[in-house]
Amino acid sequence: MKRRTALLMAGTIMATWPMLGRPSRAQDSRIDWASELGKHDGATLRILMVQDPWVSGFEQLNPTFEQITGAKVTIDAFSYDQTHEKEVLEGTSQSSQYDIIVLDSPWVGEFWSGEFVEDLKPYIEKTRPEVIAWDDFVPAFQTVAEWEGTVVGVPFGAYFMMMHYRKDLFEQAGLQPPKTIDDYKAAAKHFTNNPDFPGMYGTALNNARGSAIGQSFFEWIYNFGGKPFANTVPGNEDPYGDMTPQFDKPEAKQVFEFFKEMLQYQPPGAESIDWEQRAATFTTGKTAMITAWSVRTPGFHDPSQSQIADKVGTSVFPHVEGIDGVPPLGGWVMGINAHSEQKDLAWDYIKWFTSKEVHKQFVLLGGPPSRLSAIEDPEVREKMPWVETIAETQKHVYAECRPRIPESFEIIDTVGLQFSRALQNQVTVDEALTELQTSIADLMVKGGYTVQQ
Amino acid sequence: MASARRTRFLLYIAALVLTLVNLAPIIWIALTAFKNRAQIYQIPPVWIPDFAYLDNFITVIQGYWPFLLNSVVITLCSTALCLLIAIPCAFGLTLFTFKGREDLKMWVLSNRMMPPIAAAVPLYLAMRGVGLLDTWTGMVLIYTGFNLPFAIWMAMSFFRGAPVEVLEAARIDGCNWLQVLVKVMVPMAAGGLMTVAVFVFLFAWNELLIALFLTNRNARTFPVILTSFSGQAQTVWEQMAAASIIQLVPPVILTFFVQRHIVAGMTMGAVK
Amino acid sequence: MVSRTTKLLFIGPGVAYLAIIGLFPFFYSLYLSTTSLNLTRPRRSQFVGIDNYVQLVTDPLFQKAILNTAILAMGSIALEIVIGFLIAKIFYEIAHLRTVDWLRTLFILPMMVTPVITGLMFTYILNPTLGVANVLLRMVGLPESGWFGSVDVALLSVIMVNVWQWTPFLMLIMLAGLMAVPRELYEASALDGAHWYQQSWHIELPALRDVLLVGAIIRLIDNLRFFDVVYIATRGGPGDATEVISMFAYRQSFQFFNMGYGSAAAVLILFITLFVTTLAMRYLRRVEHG
Repeated sequence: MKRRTALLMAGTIMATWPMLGRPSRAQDSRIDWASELGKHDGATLRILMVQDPWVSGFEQLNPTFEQITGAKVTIDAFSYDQTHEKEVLEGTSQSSQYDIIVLDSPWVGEFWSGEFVEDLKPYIEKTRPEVIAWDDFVPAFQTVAEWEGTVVGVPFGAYFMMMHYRKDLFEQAGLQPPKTIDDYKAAAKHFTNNPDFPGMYGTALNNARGSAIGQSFFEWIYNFGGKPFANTVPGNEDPYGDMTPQFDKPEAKQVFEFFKEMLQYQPPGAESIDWEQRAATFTTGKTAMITAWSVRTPGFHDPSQSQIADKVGTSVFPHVEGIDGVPPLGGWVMGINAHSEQKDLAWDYIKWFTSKEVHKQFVLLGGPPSRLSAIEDPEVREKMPWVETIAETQKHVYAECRPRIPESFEIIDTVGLQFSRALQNQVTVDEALTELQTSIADLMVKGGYTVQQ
Repeated sequence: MASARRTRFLLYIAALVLTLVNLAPIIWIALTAFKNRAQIYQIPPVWIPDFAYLDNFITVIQGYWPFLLNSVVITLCSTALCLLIAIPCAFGLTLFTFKGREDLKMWVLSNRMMPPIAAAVPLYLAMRGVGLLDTWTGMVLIYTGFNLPFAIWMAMSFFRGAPVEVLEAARIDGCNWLQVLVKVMVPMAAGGLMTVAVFVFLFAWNELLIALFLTNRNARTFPVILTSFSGQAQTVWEQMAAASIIQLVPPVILTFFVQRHIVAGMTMGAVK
Repeated sequence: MVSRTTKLLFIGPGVAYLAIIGLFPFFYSLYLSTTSLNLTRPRRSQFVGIDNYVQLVTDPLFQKAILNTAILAMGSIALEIVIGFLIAKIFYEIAHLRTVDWLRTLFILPMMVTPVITGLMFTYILNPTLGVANVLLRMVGLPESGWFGSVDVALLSVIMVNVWQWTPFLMLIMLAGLMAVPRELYEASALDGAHWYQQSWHIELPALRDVLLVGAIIRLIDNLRFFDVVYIATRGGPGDATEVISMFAYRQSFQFFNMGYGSAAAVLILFITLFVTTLAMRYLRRVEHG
């Protein structure tokens, strides 16, 4: 049993770092960017990010920044795993090739402990509050960006997991969008093998081995009333203070068994479905509903990418009856490479890109709304009615729903392996959970965390 | 004789069918490259797309031509450098006798066993140390090294088949060994060396793992681009298909260009 | 009669190049494998001796990876040889016909396909719900398959893809071997009234033995480092059904950044490769000399 000291006190951050800038949700006067941003003629700003649908939003907005500052902005985008690989390799080789690093929320602890990213707190403090408008970011996503009393990145791409369903089919069946997990099961059952809905399946889940199903566990466990680790529950001030895994608890077993049970309501070959395929079953009209990250929601409504564009409804992620649901939260923040030689330019870009004004434009180009002002904006609501579900979802999310410690990637993948084996009947659910309980506990002990045994 | 003829005809049909079946996956991807996003997942599939729809190719070429150029330059240079080093080495290992020659040959071949995954980390650190990370030079040097064992080994098998008398005759005529190699051996084994070049080219052109870790932007090769069409949030299949077809153009052309040499080369390699 | 200098000038550069680019990574990996280095927690790295290796051989996932790699290699090579031989026979029989050169070149195209593309292509084609493979199966009334997604057929699917890509290679070298069989042997056996399969067994197979062995060794080395297709198509899943050794090493080194543990896996892969191929080469050399 080891005690990890002076670390991971996410709770205390709130106390030591009071309100930067006044809550200023009222309409600001427009920011004069020409005076706010420095001149960087001839400089080239390099950003490393993931190849997600919003990259084109960046590309469309960047010319404005280039015009104001005289700097050129280039973006290198990679697939999810490669982004992680590249960023860690860049960081460990202390390379100055990239100035801005776009990182996923579970990597926050890893990147800070690896000394890959700059602490942005001093930068935020020297910036005018109305430019950064920190309180305007979705509250839980503010926490995601913080680590051990520092700010690792500025939020810009919050992902919320929502239920997406076929309005037409639910109406035809006389069903309401599922609020509870029982509703979800019942609806999935209703649409599968039903002569009224030929060729349809109820749903599709993220079943593929690795991050896909590994992350699924963390998405669902809270909504079964459980938790992955002893302290990682909303409201706990020291979420990583006791990392005793909870795979031996009934809720963990319920999640595993829920995934097994749901297989019968999914298209054949569902065991290998991941984010992309789950979405594809829905946009091609094969499934009646799926849960998916809000980053995909614009695509579901776009006739050039979806065959059911005008039939999509959204609702809040389901949970078991009688508890407060915790819809999954994920998404991307922008940090500055600790070894960048152009940190001022990088900060100019970050504060410009994440500002209320530019963020709204980004959202209108299909970017994920991450500021309350964008979520509430009438123009956004008009164009993207599903943002209403985001507004409701963001009230219930939890920053630590996926752990953000340096070991996260390995934890998620290990859970993913055993979860997948159990789902495929390579082992029983109990065997998989017992195996997980031991191997994750070992991993935590090796990392120096407190584990009750 | 008529029945033998019919057998041959049937065999010819069989070969034709087998070839078509074998090519079907590639053909399907080629067709996919002409589809738009909505058609990609249509069930039943769109069998014959509109071949005038070239948006995917245009998008890919406009967006990624510098990486295509990287691939071309790195592959060509490393193929040339590899042959330049491998040919004399193979020549020497075939014709010169010395103590430990067989062991040296084995050691050369054993280098081909190195799994790229094991070399990736050390090479990354080494290239960073000498400032060659993400450069053409760095990639050329590494690919050359990776292909040397194969190239030397394969070239040796072709040189072994050369008639010794001809080489000796050249020596008697007053040629030095370099002249023997350049004027006699290389022309004699040209077909085989062509095959070596093609394979070395292909290995470099197709390599993914090392390029994944050692390049970012300046020297990023096209196979790395190919993997980037699939993100966590979406896979752009239609562009992936178009990029695949582009990536396949040089190997296909090359294969047709040297088709006779491939088989001739293989024969020489297999027969002593 | 050849001077030392000449020998050195011809052989030296190649050998020196290999020594640098081959030996350095090997020794560095060997060193890393004795540490507990994780790149994201570099300060906590320490010397652990052979702990990583001990942990590795008792790691059930690594054991599964070895088993899967063995099945993959043996299954693929066996199928490639059998199918390759039959097709080589066909092409041999019609070798003198016009346009056959073209046909043969078309046939071998799969081996030129970039492995990344092979992975992407089959991920798309074998997609259980939306891929064209299941559409075709449905059209002819056969049951659909989960392919890469179903635990029972995932490894088989990987083998199938592997066989698709590399049968042309073995076909090609066996065809070359067949071409080299002296005509008189056939004529003699034809006079004896031998069937084609008897000819295959008594004349062709012995003549092909050397070529086959070379081809099999090359394919064995390739299979032991098999990575791209699994990396793209299955990532080792579902469960651990397609976990192969390079995937295992890759995950440890570049996803978890456990460089120490990952390097230990890589070094073991190298030793396994060396061991297996040395055995095969010994045999080949004996054949060559006797």
